[in-house]
Amino acid sequence: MVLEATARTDTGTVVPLVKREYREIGLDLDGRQRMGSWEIKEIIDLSLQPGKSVREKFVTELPAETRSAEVEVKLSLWPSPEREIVVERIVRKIVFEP
Amino acid sequence: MKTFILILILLLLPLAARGEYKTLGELVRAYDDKPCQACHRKIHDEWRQSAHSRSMVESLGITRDFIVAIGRDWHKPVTREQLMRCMECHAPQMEEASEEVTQEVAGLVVTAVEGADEKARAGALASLGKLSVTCIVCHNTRAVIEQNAGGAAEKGVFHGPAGNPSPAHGTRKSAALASPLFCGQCHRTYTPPDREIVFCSSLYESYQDGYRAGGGTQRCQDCHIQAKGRGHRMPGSHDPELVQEGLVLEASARGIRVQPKKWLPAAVLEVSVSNRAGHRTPDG
Repeated sequence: MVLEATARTDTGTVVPLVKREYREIGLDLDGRQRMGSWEIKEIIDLSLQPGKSVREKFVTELPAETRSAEVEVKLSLWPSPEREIVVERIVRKIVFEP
Repeated sequence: MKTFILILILLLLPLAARGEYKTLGELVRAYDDKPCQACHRKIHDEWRQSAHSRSMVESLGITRDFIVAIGRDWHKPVTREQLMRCMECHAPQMEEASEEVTQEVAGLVVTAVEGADEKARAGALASLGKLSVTCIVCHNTRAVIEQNAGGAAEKGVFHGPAGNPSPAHGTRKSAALASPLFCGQCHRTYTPPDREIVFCSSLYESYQDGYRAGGGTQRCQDCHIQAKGRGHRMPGSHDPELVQEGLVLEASARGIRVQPKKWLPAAVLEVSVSNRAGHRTPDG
């Protein structure tokens, strides 16, 4: 599962804000097992736990001339490396007073 | 002592009475879903759309990696016991396969992924497509969860929550198939005879330890079968509707200026991702 956010400024510059991966235990995003089962037990579980929320906060600088920007946040689940399911896409506009 | 030995023999008898199929064709015929289709067409059509009907062919990449690693990394032969680490869930009928059939299936998996030509790959894929979690796997082979205590289900007798009589085969009413533990037979970590646990899926563990322990009351069957008439499609992580039900994204953004005196514009983004599913996400 991938959380991505970008900001598109009023001058057309696209600034990546964040990319977070929530992964199945022991697999990379291509679905390949990168660790033995005995090693998997030792690593941090990067998936989302049932009934729980994760909160993320990001601060990213934008180009100095930016007056406004559209921030797009997208959460996708990749059930297989070639298939993306977009869970939700949210767009927020931010404005900078001169 | 004699009584004890007699009881031990009786307990072991159903487990030892499994067949051993000498050819892949025999094994496929023994678990064929087509006879079920004649009377249970709607259910069969739903199952056809499910991941259960493609359980073997949709995981070929990682199965191939495992088969190659058995010899390359662990210096062991490809045996049924080794292959069951994958097949225990992806094709449980392989438990009844001879070692010859095991070798054939292992070869087909490797060919399907890295075969020299398209025709060979397609042929291997077609053969492997006949192995899956068929009707017989759930309603007979795996229908009894506690086989150590009660013995395996009798061949030809199909278990279900209703247990309605049928002129075509024996039936038995069983609450087991409506239990989360039934699904947990596969959708959990697998412990093979050598105790080297396979971590492909840990859904059932997080269902019990995370969801149920946190007060959740739904069963696997409630969301994946009964809700919205999903039936034997049993959608999961490949189904956009179910994925969107289970995950919630919230986001807010505001602009600030940073670096005193320079006062550069910056975006502050706050995001919340909530998992409403009854298990960890993602998982196998």
